[in-house]
Amino acid sequence: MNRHYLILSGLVVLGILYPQAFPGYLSVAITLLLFAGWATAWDILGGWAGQVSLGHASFVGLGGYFVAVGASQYGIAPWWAVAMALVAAAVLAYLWGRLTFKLTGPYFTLSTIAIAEILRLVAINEGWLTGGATGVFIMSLPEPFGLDLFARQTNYYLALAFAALTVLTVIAMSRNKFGYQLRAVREDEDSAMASGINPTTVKLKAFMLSGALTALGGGIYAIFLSFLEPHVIFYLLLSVQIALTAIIGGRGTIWGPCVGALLVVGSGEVFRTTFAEANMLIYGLLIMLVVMFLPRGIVGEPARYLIRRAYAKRAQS
Amino acid sequence: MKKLLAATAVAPWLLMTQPVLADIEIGVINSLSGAFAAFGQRYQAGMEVALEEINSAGGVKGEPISLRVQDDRSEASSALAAVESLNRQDVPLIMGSYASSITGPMAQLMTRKEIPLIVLGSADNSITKPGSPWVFRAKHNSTIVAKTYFDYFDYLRENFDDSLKTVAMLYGNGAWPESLAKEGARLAEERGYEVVGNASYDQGTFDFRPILNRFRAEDPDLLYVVAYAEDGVAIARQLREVNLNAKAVAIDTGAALPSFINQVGDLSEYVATVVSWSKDVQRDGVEDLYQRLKAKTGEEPTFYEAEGYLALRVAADALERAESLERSDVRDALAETDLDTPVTHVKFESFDGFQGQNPIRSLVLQIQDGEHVTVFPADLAAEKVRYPTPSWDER
Repeated sequence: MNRHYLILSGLVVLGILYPQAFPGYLSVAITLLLFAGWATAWDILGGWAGQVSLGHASFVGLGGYFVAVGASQYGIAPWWAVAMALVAAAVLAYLWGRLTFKLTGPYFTLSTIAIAEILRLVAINEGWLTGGATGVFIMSLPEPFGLDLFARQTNYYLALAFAALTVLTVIAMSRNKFGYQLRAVREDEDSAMASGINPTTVKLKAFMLSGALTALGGGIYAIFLSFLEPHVIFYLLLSVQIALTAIIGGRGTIWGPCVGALLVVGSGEVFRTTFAEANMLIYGLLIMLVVMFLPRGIVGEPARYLIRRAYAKRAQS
Repeated sequence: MKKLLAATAVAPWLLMTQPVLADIEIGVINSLSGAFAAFGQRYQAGMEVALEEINSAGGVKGEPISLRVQDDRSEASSALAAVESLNRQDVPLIMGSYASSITGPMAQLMTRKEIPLIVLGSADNSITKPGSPWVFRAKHNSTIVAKTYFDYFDYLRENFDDSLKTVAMLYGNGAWPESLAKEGARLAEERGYEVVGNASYDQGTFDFRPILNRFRAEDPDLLYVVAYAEDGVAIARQLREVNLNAKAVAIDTGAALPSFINQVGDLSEYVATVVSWSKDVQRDGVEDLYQRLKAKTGEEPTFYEAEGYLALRVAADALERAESLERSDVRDALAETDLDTPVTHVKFESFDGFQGQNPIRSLVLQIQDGEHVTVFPADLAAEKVRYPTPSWDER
């Protein structure tokens, strides 16, 4: 069995036990798991396919709004709303990718910001659909099997399942044909084409998978907050936070985004409660140190070192 | 030596983060860093003034009170973690926060955990409508603010100029401006004003001339603007550039800040704005509060500091009257609040779909000779309204 599956299983077991050990620290754990999941989902496109997106908040917002508007205006159960959000996110990613994958490098990244901005403005101005700028409250949700979906423990286990699912997807992907195709496209599109790979199709698939998984987390986030405002959930800052989490942890690695989430969310919470108003300053310094000394990310840098050492040993023998 | 250096480096942080020992600790979740830090600092100053006043008067139930302040970094998820943290510390109630995107999720969580919440800064209707038995707001909301503007317009119509009829509305697309515009449009129709212009803009817009030129073609009697600091300044300046002459101009939020007068200069004269408190409102103890707030901040205090002061006064009053520091007793005491302060009278009521909302009498300030002056309601006013606003050619 792949060692990554073993690590994931161990972490999931620890995660299941966490609420019993720390029942008063669930909110920060939920945020951490959501960011771990979002960053891992982002990395499918941004790390494995090499297409840096700064528009992933759109998918978070899409998932969140399907759940919130579905529950508050149409009485749709959140699991159906999430299912619809996944399809909508995949369709959106397909159309978005079709429009923008002809652009490369920074131009693709800029286009993701532009499209995310369009979606934010739609969410603000189409009040009949989204509740408008004043946002939408989730006042009540169904209770499947007597389960209170608003309870912090339920939120926590949903977030844990989401994070585990995204990591599981990436582990599976890393060793299959699709994963190799993604890496081939990332390293050199022309060479990939020469090998019979259609880069646009591969990138589209990665974008659809990444977007759908991000929307799934968005649905859980909406239940966690119980209140959504388009300015916050569709905001560029959230897209940057998601990308930053993956980049700091290590792009194109299985565990990098999770380690990034631990650093970004975990240290943010520790600094918030320890350093009062100076917390953002310390947080910024920490991010700068990581970027300066570990440019490939916390996991990416040692992983590269180990791979190079392995190659060197093989070459010697 | 290394250990000594490390200890020296860490000691100030530890000292800063050590809780001050006191018998009654009140939870505070405030935006002290991040996007809303400028407002959070003002609320903090107001709370500190109230804290000194309460403790020098003997505290609560004979014990001094202290604040357990947690920074929400201007983010909802951090605010929710702070609620959990303060819940673990068993505080009897929590005050917070500034933005509705933060206070909304807090209100939902605290209702579920049955912790009393006194809203610090958020004025969005949705926080107390429908509200919950655990959420209380002493300050105004968007319905009250919009109603105050239209009460003021009615006052002008009845006392100065019965030809006032048309209104143009310009507002940002944020949660607060949108909700105030929605209420404004409803009140305009209800009170017989004709809306001849209605435009919103994306936050970050600074060229309003195309919209204002459109408005000029309609020649509105009243201009109703909801804008934050920078956009409010830009709109006020561009009114002159496009030569838009309304008989009365109201600019919410942006025009209430002292910096508005500094940045806009003479062009700010005659502009009206609604606030929850001013330094010259005709209430007992206002001058004393003004001086203490000014001494604390070292600058001209605004209604933000006053709202911080108000929230803590309400909290202390409820704790004093509560049978015990159990949260249900504190909640019951808050529901029974009937308190006079230099900011406003506080009595939480249920009305028009609101719950736990103080039906506060908001004030209209007009900028006169480079100062914010209270001009409405008449019984709380310090000066008379200056009307009409002269045309730009005459100024």
